[in-house]
Amino acid sequence: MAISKNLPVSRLPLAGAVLLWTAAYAAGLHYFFTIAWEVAATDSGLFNLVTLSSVFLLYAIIGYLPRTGIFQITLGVAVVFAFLSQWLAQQATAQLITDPAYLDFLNQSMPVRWAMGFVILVSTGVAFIFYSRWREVAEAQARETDTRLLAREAELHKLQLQLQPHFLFNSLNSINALIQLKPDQAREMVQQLSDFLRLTISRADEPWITFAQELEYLKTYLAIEKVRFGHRLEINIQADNMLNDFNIPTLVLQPLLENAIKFGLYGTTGKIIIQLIAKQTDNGMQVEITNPFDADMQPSTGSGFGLSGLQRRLYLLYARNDLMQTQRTPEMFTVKLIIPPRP
Amino acid sequence: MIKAILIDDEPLSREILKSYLMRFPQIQIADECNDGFEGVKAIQQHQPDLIFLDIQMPKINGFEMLELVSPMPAVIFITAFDEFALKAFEANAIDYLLKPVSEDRFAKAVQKFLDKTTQTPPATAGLLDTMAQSTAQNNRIVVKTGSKVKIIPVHEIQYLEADDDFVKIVTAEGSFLKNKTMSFYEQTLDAQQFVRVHRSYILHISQITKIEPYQKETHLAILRNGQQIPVSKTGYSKLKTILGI
Repeated sequence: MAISKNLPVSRLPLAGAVLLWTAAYAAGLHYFFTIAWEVAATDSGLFNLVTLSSVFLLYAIIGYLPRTGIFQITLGVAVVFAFLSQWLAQQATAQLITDPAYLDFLNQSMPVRWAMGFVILVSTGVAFIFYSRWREVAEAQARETDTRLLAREAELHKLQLQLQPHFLFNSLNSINALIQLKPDQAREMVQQLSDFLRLTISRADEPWITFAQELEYLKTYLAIEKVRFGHRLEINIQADNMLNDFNIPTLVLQPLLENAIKFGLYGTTGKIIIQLIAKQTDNGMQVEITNPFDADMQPSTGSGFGLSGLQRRLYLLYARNDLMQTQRTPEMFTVKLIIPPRP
Repeated sequence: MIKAILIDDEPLSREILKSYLMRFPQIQIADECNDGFEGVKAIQQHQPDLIFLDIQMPKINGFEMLELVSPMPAVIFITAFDEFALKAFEANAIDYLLKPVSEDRFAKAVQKFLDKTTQTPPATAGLLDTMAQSTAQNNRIVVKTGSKVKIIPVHEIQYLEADDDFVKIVTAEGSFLKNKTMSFYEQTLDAQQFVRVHRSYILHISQITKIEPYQKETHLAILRNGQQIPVSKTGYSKLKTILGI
């Protein structure tokens, strides 16, 4: 890619600097070489105008140069431009001023002018190249940060919304049955399912909620599971009231509880008790969810979204991989989750 | 009278099926089951013509339960799991209904069964094989010993041996018969771990401690427990490629 053509400095200070330089140039001619003010001003004005034009022309050319060999080419072009521009200025000045003494001085001063033009062109050219490169890198970095941020948000969003379609269809199936058998309960369950879905959808946009809010959401979820599995499922929640206003990432507990229920219900036959204990700790909170399980069972397929998704989410939020631990005994499976304060 | 059994772990799900079935007085519900274990027993006891079967159930799923049942009744799957639909259809299940099931759709499925019973019984061998594949890929094999159901993790298998029309699955705990063919297991078990070393044997290679020459071109594989398994000429070359000797 060619280097950007934008100038490193804003226009007003640039114009000021050019004017100052032109004035100093004229003053130099007047005091060191005793050239009359009008002649010195004309000389300085013409020479510097031409030099400035050639600087801009050089920038324009640099903009189209390939990356490799850019310095060598710039150097070469600067040499040619320095010679051409000063020669052009010399010709122009000679047209305007006819004083032989001055013309003599003009001719003698040319090597110095060439050298000055060359130095100006090369230094501003090289500075321009470096500036353009630095800006390119900065832009790329900004873009990368943006992309990463977007990707992270999208990923978080997706992980939050991992709503099990099975859960939805099975709930609808229960409602379908209840409509015929117990219409009142059907209505109640439609309400619960709507509440649950509303919370799932609305909270997908809020990355953080209070523990009390998450608990309320869990209770809605559990009410639905109780309709389906009330004959087998018992859930025991112990939560410290002090935690009510503690901020936790949205929807981290629900997938854990869902997982525990699934493992408990499908890994064993008979009644199960799921336990959720939430405690305050020195630095944040700790949640333990325990479900019965059968160590002899090989996990069947279709475990679906479970702990790995949550692990990933916690990492994205807290940049820590040690927040979730699991423990197994022959009969119980426990997930322990440490939730630090909101970063 | 047609005998049917409902197998689903959600009572409400069974309730609605029962109410749908009232439209078919010729079908009598012989039993209701909460899981596959109850299902196996009930099928053995009642010998039903038709079962309504959920797939996701405690401990063993619907496919695994069917593997333990013989003779196999006609099956209508009723499940929220749609990823198995195609498999079940390919395998000639009578029908595959998705929850929530509408009464019309249910009636159609039952009618399909009623129409079929006047003809030949449904081809079920294909169904069994497809199902067993899904379970062997689960890394476990479900077997029945007497009236008890046992789940064997694949990694516990020492070897498989042909036994007439059955396959004997041998583990440290004992051996279990399964109504399958050797080639079925040769295809479904992980080929990196299980090698058919002989017409009658499939070996779990982690069990092998030694291979000794035997008669002519055959060999003997010595297992960890000291048992000797014959290895044919082709079996030996298969072993050599997998073990890298």
